[in-house]
Amino acid sequence: MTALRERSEPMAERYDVIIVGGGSAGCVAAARLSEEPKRKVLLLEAGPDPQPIPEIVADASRQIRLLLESPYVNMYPTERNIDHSVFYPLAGRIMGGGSSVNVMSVLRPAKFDLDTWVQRGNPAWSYENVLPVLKRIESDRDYPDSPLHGRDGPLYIKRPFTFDMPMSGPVKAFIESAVKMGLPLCPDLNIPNPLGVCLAPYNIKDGKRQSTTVAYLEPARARKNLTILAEAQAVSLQLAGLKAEGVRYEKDGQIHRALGDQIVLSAGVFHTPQILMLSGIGPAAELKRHGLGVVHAMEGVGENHQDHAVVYMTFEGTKNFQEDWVIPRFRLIIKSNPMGDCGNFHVVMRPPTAVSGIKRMMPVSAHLLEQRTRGRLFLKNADPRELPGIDPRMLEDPEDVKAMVSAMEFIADLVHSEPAKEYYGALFQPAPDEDWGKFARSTYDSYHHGVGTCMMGPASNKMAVVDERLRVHGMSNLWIGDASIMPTVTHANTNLTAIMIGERLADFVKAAA
Amino acid sequence: MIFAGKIDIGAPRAKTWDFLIDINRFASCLPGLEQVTQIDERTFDGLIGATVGPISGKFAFRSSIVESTPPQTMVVGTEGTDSVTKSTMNVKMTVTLAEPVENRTELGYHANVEIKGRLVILGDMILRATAVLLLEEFSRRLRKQLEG
Repeated sequence: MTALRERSEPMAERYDVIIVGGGSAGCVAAARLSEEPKRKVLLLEAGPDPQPIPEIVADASRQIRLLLESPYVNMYPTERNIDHSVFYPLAGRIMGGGSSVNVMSVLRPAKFDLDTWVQRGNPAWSYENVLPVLKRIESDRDYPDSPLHGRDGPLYIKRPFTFDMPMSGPVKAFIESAVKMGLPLCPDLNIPNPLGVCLAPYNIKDGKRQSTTVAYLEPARARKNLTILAEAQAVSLQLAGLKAEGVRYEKDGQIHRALGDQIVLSAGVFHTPQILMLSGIGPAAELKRHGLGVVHAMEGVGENHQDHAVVYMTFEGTKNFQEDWVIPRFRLIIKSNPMGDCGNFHVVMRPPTAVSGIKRMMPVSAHLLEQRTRGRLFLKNADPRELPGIDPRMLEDPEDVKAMVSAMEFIADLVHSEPAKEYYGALFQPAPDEDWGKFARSTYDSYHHGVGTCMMGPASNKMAVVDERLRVHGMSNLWIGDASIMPTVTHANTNLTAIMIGERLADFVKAAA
Repeated sequence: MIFAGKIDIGAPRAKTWDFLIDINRFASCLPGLEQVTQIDERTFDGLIGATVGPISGKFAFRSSIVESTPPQTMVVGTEGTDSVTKSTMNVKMTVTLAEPVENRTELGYHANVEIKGRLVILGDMILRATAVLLLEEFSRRLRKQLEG
């Protein structure tokens, strides 16, 4: 790689707050913090900020093509530990981050998740404390008057599919089989602990994606106190001892500096810990391995990585039909253990797949919404342009494997019961007689919900990176606001939780001023 | 992704070998081929169509026998590109033929599939099962032609 040239700048620009990363949380924080005209805010985003937003991003119906064809997605090659085969967690590399490339389902964290965060020393994150923040985010078109939901927030939310709508034969049969197996109908997935056949809320308005770019940043763009720099990749923090004073970033092949009173890292679960480590904040041994000086040894940086493992089962498709979706607008939430605290699996019907010359395929996926073992994120080298590596360690705990096999058995029972079996034939993958646990461990994919690499917790926990007000332990003027702070992965898609973290980060920074 | 297995065929090894190196006869066992064009005696081009939900695409590929030790082993290299994501797929398949019992062939295969590009996003949802079904159908056709 070519060396970057440091630009000679006699006077770097100075801001009240610098936010590194214009993702789901960063856009929210930038918009909220710049509401006060006297606060000068800089938002740095490594990816592009195309305006108008390209149709492949804006048009919700093109979401799969966006993932398959657009340049706005980073792929992180990651080895499964059992056999070193490779899968690819994804992240958005465009203004809006994950909210600009995800499937647009907006699921709240379960109450159980927030209770867990409280138990881990973060009382400010109780369900009662977080609920008002979740409500102020949303403009829920289906439940505007519910005490659980908001009606005037920036994020448009609607459930595009309801149980009384006409539905295709396969979808109807799948749902009816699930109900016959005892699952309740759950018309609102954003209740405290949802379970059953759940209707997913989406942030899609008139067919357009409502990313945090659209919902938060667009209304704030004209503010004179908000500076937005895209294709500006942070390479390290500028530190004076244990005080954060600014950010060094690369733009147009040169290194620039920006100075700030408060520095916020919102670069996401992969790049927030990377920037910390490149700045000398992280596990001492890891930093020394890459020739990086240790400014502040923090063993927790990059650790505690968690994600949701997804395993696909493929059945023979017995009927010829076409669906217009790749991700349906409902999902099953089940407990692999009836005594479990909350639903710990999403079960998702997948579209029929036809390859000429072979039998028609009907996949169904099982998504484990928790991870007992902890993975880690690590530097491959000290080059800020190099993607960090991930040691996922998913499906390593026997209890996780047992839960996954249990969910797979549930799926097999469901699709082979009346009336779903009209559409689902023999099981192709895994073979009925093979070791399903081994199959799961050697084929799992990511649900793209990586979290936790800068865990929130009290200073007494040596693995905690930020306190419950999102300040980096032991540092001054340094904050983290993104999915990396989650102590445990939520039992839900993580994007709305990241947005909520962006809201809270803004609250905490404002309160500290 | 690695796929390995064995196919038991009720035909002598020499007959099986001759069948496999005849591109037209070999290609007749590949399911779903929309086009086959023989380039030379060791190489052919093919095209397979696929539909995932609302998305349809084509996979164009070229297969060549890159090594052969008659009538025991051959290595077949395949390179292809899909029409939707422009991802590339490289497959290196080693085929071994043994005749443990007279007039029966044990065909062993070991395929290493490498995909570069966004197609891998669909990998474990679609590609693994597709590969297994393609191999299953190929085996069925091969047996039918050699044993029939």
